[in-house]
Amino acid sequence: MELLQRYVDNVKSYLPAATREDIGNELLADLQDAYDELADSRGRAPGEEEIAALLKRRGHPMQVAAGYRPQRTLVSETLFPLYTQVLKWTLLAILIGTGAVALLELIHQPEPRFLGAAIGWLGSSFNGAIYAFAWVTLGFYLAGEGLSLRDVFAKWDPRNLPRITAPGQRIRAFDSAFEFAATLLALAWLNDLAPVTRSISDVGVSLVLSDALKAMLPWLNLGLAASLLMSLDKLFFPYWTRNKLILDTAINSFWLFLCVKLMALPAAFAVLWNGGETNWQISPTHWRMAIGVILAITCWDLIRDLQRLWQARATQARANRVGERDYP
Amino acid sequence: MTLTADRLNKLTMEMRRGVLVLAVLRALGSPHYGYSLRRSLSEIGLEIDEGTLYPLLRRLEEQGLLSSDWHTEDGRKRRFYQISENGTAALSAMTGEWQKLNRAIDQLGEQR
Repeated sequence: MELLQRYVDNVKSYLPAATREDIGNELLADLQDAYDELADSRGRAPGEEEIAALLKRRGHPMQVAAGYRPQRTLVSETLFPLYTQVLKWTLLAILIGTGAVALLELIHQPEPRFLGAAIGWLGSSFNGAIYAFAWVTLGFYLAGEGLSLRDVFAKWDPRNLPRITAPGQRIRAFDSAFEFAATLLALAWLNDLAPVTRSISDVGVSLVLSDALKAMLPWLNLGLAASLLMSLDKLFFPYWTRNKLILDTAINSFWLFLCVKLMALPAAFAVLWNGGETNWQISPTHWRMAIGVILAITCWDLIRDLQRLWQARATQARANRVGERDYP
Repeated sequence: MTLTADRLNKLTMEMRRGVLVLAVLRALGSPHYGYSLRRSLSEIGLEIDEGTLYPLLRRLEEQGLLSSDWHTEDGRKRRFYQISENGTAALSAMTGEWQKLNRAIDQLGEQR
């Protein structure tokens, strides 16, 4: 019997003071009943091994005490979808905000260093993300069960939901992530190496852009930034909507225009090494071939966008016709 | 995906969880202490482990569906639970819902 009391005392140690004695007394009475039943079935007083087995079946004291406590979570089950969405958009806003700050700092540097700026951007994004995660989670924790999805979305209107053009067809996360990484690298490559004409003594290998290409840098950066944001949007909301398709078509058209301009450049860049003594300049043929590949990819994307827009229009028209026919 | 024993157990537990409230409220038409309630339910084939039953009794009492009192029986202090007025109203509504569900499920079975 001493084992039973010890068990109950341990359970009580995990319970809140207000209910500790009450639950403890009830548990002890229940265990004593179970003990009596065991004794009746054996025809003798149960041994220590048997009592220990009885208690083992009940579970660890902490587990038993946990059963009496409300299942509290940081974010309630009903609010969790909203929580992840808020978290996603907050992180995106932080990425864009810190990115904009990093870009402004980069522009104002006399000798811009993209690598340093990129590391700084990642660092401040990470810091911001940690704080955002903590604050958003705290907000939802405090809102708790008192706030339900019904309250949050009380004024929603089904007609305002994004119109997904091809339901069920997700934009593959791998494609969007690859696009994001490739665009980010292109942005890094162009902005870090553009001003290298000044000094190459501290760098083993350098890439020098032609004046014509440098003159196009603001437009290239604009296109890359738009593509970067689009790839992020595709990652967070992986469905095509009419507005997203129109925007993607605009971005691809802009790139098409840029590619045509880039193709017309005579000598775009050169690679220097050995302190500038040796250099290799890309030939116009190779340059046109490289731009031709980008042009082909852009054309393909643009055609796909237009196809999707056309299909979406046709689907909508069909749905309208069916609606008019069935419910004139 | 095959239905593992563990997953099947979880599905059954999920289904039982809601029904247990109905069973407990019905059984507590007459006063019972935890151990006797568990035994009487067990005798009709409804096994509930202590870790589920006692917290459930507490929760139902907090919700005003049960009332409880400490009494001494056979020289031992026991907490006796009984359905309250609110509990009776809830039981009536839940029984109606249960019967409606039963009929619907039966009809689904007949359609097959």
